[in-house]
Amino acid sequence: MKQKLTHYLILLAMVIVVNFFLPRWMPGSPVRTIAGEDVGSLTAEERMGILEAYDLDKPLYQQFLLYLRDLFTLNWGNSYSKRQPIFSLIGSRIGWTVLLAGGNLLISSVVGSLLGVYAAFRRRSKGGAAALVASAAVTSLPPFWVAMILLSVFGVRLGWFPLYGAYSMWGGYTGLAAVLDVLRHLVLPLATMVLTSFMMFFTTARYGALQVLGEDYIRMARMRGIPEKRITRSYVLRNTFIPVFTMVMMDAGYLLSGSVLIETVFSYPGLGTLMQEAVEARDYPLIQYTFLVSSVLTIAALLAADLLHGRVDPRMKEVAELE
Amino acid sequence: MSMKKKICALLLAAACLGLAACGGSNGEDVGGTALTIAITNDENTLAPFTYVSSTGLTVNRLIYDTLFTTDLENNLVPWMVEEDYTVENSQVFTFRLVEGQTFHNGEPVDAEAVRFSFTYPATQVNSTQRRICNAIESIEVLDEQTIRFTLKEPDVNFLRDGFASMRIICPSVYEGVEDGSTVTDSIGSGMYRLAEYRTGEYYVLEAVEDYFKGTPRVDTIRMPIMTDSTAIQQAILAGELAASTGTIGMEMVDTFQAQEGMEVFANADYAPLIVNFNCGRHPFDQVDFRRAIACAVDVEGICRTLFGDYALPGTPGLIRSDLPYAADLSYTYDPEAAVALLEGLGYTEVNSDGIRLDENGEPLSFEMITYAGNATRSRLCELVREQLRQVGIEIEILSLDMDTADAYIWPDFEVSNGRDYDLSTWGWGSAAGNSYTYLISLCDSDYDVGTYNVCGYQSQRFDQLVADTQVTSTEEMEALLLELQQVVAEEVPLLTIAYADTLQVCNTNLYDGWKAGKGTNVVNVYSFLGEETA
Repeated sequence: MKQKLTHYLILLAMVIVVNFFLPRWMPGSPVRTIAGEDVGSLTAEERMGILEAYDLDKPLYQQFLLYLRDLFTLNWGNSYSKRQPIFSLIGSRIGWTVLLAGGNLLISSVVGSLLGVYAAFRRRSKGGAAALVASAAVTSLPPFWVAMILLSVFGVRLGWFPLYGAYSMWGGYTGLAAVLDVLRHLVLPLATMVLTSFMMFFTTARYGALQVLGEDYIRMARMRGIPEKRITRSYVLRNTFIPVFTMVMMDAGYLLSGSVLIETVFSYPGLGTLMQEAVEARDYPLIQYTFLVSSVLTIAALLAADLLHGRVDPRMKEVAELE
Repeated sequence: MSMKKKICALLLAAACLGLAACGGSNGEDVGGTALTIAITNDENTLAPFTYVSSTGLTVNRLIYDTLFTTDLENNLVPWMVEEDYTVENSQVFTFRLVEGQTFHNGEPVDAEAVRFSFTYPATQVNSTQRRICNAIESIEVLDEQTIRFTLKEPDVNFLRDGFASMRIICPSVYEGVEDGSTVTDSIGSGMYRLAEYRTGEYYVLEAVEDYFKGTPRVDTIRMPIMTDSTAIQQAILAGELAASTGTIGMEMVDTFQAQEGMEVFANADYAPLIVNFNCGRHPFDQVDFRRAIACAVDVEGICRTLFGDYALPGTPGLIRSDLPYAADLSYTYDPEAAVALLEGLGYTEVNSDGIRLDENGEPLSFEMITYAGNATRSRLCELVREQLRQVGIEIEILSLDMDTADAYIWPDFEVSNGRDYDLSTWGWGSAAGNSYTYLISLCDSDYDVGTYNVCGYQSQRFDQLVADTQVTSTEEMEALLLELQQVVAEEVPLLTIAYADTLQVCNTNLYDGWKAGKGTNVVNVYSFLGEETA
């Protein structure tokens, strides 16, 4: 475990370094974002003054040291483009993204896995084949297109769900009404994400279950007369869900950054769009810290997966002990 | 299906319908007249030192007034000042403020506040405001309502570029504040006050009832921040939005016009769509080579293909042809003349692909940089490529994200830093294309003057004309511009393809007061002014 923790610490250190240099290696400059549309009218001295004010005139190593100082003192400063503290910017967005992407992770993994197992058990029936074909067909649709269809049908034509935002911005709802309002706004973006992402859980669960169903211990259990329900629950599902669990943990790492497109289409105020806007504006501090938060979450998810794997799959514990 | 499954399915359906039944729109009515208009970008607090793009500039004009403004015909008109203002030699301007103006916090708008508004930005990083401050030699407050500006040099454009641009800010909000962008109170003296802003989500603007030009017609303007144009259009169709600060494509015009209650406004715009040549790079350094390209490209045809009837084709004089000082010039599509010019330069041999060879035996093959994700510009590149191929010039299109493309075309936004491209698509904002100084900024090779000269164009004739002419009146400026247009028409530093209209769709069932004007967005002061004043 100690060794693994060391690996993750090294990974984190690398992330911290890359997060600083990557935006600065990108072509382009944040000067336009800082100075506005008439940047061309600035004199060289004025432009240099702006660079000085933002420490961008300093050698890269000095900027890096300042970045490390700010990072560890949690003084993350202001965004160049949003002119607001980065801490509060990330704080105001992260909840919505966790709700949307977390909801998607939960629903798509449960729905995908259950459908996958169903398709595996019914592999020779029409139902199993239909589940496979339908899942593949739906998931292969471009997310943008699915979003537009849902928006057009359920938002515009039927008027069932709102077209934008994470809640009724001027609705003034409180209590249960506010919760229901948030859920109503969540339906279309969440449905889009689930429809376009559950396939990987479906295929993983289906092939996992097919593999398990062919194992000797399943045949032996049947020969011993163990009831089919118990075989399914204790033997098949438990083993099938091990790779699904790994996938869920891996996906949790992408939670914060994986919903940019959906957030954009539904004007959902999440972290994905914030990251995208930061990159487009060459807003170095905002790029650094949004990506850092996302990376830290990925590393945390991987670490959690490592820690929990032993519990989910006892064989892993044995491997670890052998190592 | 078992009974258990049926019950589960019914519960799920009931939950969905229950959620759907909780309400269809995005909120409840607040009383009074309220309009919901999408804003296509998060523009921070919309204050003069925090907005991000031209969208912010458009909307913050509702909150912050300017001494002058343009009417719907693009004529300059006094706004905060009386009409009896005086201008001496395009250098000394004396204004008397209209009585009864106050900031949103109740403080009076007086000459001292105007003076502060034109001095404080000199210490800030916003380039537009700094440019304006830099041109001013002195400001005298003659009395509480009267103020005199003296410029360092005569500037016939300053009424439009300076006095119609600079937002009047409240001194008590900014006094002693080193970095104006940290001020989050957006307090101006405009017809709307910023009532609420949630980062990344929305703005709420409330009408100023005692506004000096009358109470605005709409009490509340709600502005959700929406960046996806298709979603915005769907929301306008659904009646959830009355309009948007964004635009629609030409291909959507018929669709919207066929819908009851939808009106498409086509506002003439001064923002040019350009093909830049790197005039410092061979063979673009040869005037005849650039002329050959101008002959080989069907500017008018491309303009029609890209924009239909919603654009004015560009001219070799580079200035929008309906401006009063535009020379009567037009591009001539003549591929044969292009071939003759290329052969005159010695580019007679062609390779097996039909591409002409240069003096070193290398094919005339060039990269054309364009912004990725801009469909109009990509199509422009394809059309130019097709037409240049007909005369034996090969174009390879390079689609790059905006900042990467800019880093090649306009490194560090400083034209004296050079450039690294062959051809590129390009554009300037409406304010630039509508300015007397546009052509000079674009073409003068003294980079302190030619701040937009991203082509690296060098012309002694052009520079001499600019240097030798002392301009102190609009008549002198217009005469100079007519001469300069003749020079650039002959030397072709770039191709202006079109001045496309700004197409916007509005839901007239929700509001019928929309006013479209030249060079403006429908979200302008005239759309919301009281009927009598408007």
